[in-house]
Amino acid sequence: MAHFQLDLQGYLCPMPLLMCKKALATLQAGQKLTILVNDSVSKQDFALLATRLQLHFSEIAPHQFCFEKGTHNEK
Amino acid sequence: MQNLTPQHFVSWEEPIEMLYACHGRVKSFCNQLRILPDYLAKNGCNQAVKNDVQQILNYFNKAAPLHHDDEEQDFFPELAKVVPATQADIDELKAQHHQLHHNWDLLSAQLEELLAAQRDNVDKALIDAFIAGYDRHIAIEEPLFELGKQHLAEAELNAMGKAMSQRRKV
Repeated sequence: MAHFQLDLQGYLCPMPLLMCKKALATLQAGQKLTILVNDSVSKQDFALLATRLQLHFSEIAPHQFCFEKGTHNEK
Repeated sequence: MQNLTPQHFVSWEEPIEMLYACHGRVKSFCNQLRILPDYLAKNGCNQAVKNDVQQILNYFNKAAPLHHDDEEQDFFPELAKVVPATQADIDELKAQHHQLHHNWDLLSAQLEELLAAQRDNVDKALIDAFIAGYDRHIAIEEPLFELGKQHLAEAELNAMGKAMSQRRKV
């Protein structure tokens, strides 16, 4: 399973959210994207984005979030 | 794990979306502030409150001033060129930015004291004034965003987006 990482710590809100949204648009089924952000953004924004895009979302460490696109046969 | 290059995902094609995204943050934080006094009265200043308050401080100290710069330096001047009738609203909004910053200075001082355990509540009147200021401001501003979408040419939008992205590089 491909796992990508995107370091967005060099950007302030709302750039990380918009850049993450753009990166998630390229994610294929079964792939993961971990993002690193700074304290200008909030976890809730990314959780909401994941919900909207129907992606699995988890906080793996402070300021590190993981998105996963389920496979087609997954509900 | 494969590292992606952040520059590939820098977005400047939709600067108006970025302005709306900032308002989304402001509205969400205002909602949290609205319930803060009652929450503190019931639960005290627990770790969850401290985390949320720190987020609010981070946003309004770092990102909100950049949003006002986006408008004053990039969006308003371009909009006024193509829709001159917006100038009166723009002048009003720029004046309101000063008031919003003043409201924030008063409120943030109490939020900092809350985090430093120097107080156990926040003045509701300060929160109400802060939220009301943003409500008034956004009500005038978002119709201008729509005018920007309708009237600004792609070249102006791209230039504006690049300036806004550059402003947010740490």
